[in-house]
Amino acid sequence: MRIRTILILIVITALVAGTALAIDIPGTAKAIKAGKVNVGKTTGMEQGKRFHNIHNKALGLQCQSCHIKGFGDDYAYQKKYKDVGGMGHVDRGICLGCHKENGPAVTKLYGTAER
Amino acid sequence: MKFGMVIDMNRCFGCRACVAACKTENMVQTGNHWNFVLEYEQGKYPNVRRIFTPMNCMHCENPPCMKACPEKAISKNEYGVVLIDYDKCKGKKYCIAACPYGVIHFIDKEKTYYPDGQKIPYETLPPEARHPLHRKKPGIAEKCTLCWHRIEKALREGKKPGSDYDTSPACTKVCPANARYFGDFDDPNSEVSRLIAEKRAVQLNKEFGTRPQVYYIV
Repeated sequence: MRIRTILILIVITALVAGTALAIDIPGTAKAIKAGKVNVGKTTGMEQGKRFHNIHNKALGLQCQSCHIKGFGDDYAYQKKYKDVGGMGHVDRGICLGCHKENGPAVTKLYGTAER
Repeated sequence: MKFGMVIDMNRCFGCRACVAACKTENMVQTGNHWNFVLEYEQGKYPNVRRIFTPMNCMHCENPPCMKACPEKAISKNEYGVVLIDYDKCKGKKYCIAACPYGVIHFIDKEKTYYPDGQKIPYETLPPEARHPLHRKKPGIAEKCTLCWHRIEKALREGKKPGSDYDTSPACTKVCPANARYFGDFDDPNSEVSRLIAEKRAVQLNKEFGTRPQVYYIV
């Protein structure tokens, strides 16, 4: 009984902490665009520059959220055979999730597929 | 006029003549490919098939690379060709990150064709002697231009782009299997428009909503 209570308490604490720590992605994205969140001024893909400051630090995306080990054989992506080193490739399908026309990102890179 | 390409995957047998022609025509940096052939197998033994997918810039109607570039160095001209302005490009690589086809490459340093640093005649040409789209330098992004230098010349001389070797992208006319077609999508009677309609050609990665202007007959 005591163990069960402790387990329930752990689950509740985790849920509360998780909610408190969860980042409001659309809100944060707008704040970044408005210059209210400091993500640095130097644009660039390297660690410590704007791109990773936005995705990793401000939005809290883990490395493995975007970087994958490899693509499937039928994935139509020209550079899939190139050794990118570091954390590995980024599946653009993940970018699409937020950067599509009706996605939470402010920068709408992609459109919507025609039916 | 809106130019684009149709590639017949049933005809392509992976010879890579298009890759070689593109490299020679545009003097693409060693290690980079404006044109590339993806190759994979389909099916299970003994019923296997090798698939070849020639890839180059898709010259999207809705190009994500153009939106991603912080320097506004990428533009789409009135003929539908997406081009990089090498003078504006600062090599931030945002375009490379945004492109769902992986067709944009970065020139990290000056490389010569010969491993000992010896230059071939083209490499010794000063920038002013080259077409602006061939004035590449380290620290910038590069990609297929649909051989815009040829199209531009054809338009200037009053010729119809795609009508002969000199007015077509280098990759199209060298194809021994006639797998690549170039033409005007705005003309319903052009060969490319007819192929798209008759062969039900498709676009790659349609889910990205980029509306590529390179169609594939699969």
